[in-house]
Amino acid sequence: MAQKYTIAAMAMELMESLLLRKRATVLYPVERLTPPERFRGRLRYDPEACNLCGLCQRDCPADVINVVRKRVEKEDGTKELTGHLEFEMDRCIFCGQCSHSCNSNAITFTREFELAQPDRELFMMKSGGPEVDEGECDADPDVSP
Amino acid sequence: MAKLSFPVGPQHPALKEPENLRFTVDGELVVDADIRIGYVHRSIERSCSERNYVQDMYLCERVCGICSNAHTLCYAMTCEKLADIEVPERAQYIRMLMHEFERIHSHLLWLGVAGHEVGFETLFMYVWRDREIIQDILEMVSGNRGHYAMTTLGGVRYDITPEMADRIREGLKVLRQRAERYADIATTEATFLKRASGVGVASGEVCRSLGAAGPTARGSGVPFDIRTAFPYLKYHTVEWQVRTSELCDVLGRTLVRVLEVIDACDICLQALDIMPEGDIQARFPRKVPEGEAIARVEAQRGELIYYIRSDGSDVPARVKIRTPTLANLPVSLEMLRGGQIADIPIAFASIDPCFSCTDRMVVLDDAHTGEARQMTWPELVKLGRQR
Repeated sequence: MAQKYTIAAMAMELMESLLLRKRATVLYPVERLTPPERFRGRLRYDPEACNLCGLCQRDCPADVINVVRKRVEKEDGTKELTGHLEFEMDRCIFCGQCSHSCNSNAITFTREFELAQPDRELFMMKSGGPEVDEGECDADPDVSP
Repeated sequence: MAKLSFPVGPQHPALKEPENLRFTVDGELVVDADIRIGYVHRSIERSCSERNYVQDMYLCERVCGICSNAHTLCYAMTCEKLADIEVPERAQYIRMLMHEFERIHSHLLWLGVAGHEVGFETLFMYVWRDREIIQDILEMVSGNRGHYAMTTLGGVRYDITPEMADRIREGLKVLRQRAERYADIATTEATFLKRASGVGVASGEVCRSLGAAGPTARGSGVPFDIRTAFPYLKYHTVEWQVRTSELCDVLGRTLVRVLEVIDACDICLQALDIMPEGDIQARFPRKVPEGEAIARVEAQRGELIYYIRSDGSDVPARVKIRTPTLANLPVSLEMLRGGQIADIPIAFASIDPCFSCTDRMVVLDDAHTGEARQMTWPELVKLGRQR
């Protein structure tokens, strides 16, 4: 700290910045930066992997997730629990807790970050179907993931 | 000359957040100052009593955009005390790293803003360019540039891989050099000295009596830092020192912050070398045993305190947050008194105020009798969330 910060030193730094360094910014959207691996962009839901345990719904801080459970009668007369998740992504805060809570890796986040939409309805991720409120949960409800 | 009183704010060009300052001036001299807060109150403490412990983590993270990790850390530490959970060693080191990364980014952000407030725009540009190094590190480790969601109950969400550790080391070495340069500028650059030296004076005695916290108190020679006074995480395993300055003015507070950036780089570099392998998260119960706990951490702006009372369910009965800006507001008014009108922006900014964190509010049913009431959860939802 003893060194005097002189005008000459400032001029040197300015020259260095102007001539030797590359630009600090990129010209989006012509140039794009790649988000890091852990980036939480567009949510991807895999209904095949989902076991409908509902932990994601319980932990979601923004009340985005709704678990839709259905009981379908099979040909042999037995009943099977099926269903899917619905996401109201306009409320999502991209904290990633659903993905962290999920034991079956059904919810992941991609690196896609351009998610703006002109209409709120376009944020709804719903696949429809009649809703049945009763359901079974096979996850241990007393322990967090 | 007759004394004149005038209000500044709630909306004004000096700060981005709304608050109302009332000044009494005699010519260019500020004779008295008073503050009114409450314009960005968001009922976070009340909302915490309506969500479970996991959901509250993200709500507390949103108390502040700049010190979001300090809030989740303090919240998680309080919950872990309540549930009597031991956090794995590696998770504690990663928490410490994130805590210091955030300190670096916050202090650099403040230094840039300070440059802007004193009209030194070049400093603002340089500092904010260099701040991108730590922002990139934070994004690489946690996945986000702000609201990192790194801390979780019982540990941390993500591990630091050896490749990441190498990139962090590279980045921190550059940042350390840059911080040394900024310490040089702060002590020798004539323009900055003229605008910072002798401005916003608050003696150590005033800081102590008014309960100032963090760099505001340390800039006035009060050697108080929660990291050493009430050690937490793994600060006792690394070598560093509490930085203070006897200057008691804006320059003193600037120096403390810049030196803390250098220290934070050193803490992180040491922690990366001695971090043990192992688990990063302990199992945390859904329902927390009945009781109450308090935790305190040294956030960038000063001491942050969380108090949580549990009634044995999966929802906390009460969450109380004491943010550092609230502790620093009384002393900030003291800094403004006796100063020039032109020095108000930098003197006030020197405590690194954050009003969204600090705001408290009372709903008055009757303004004449001062009768207050509590708002119900449905009322809050209607105010804040209903479409």
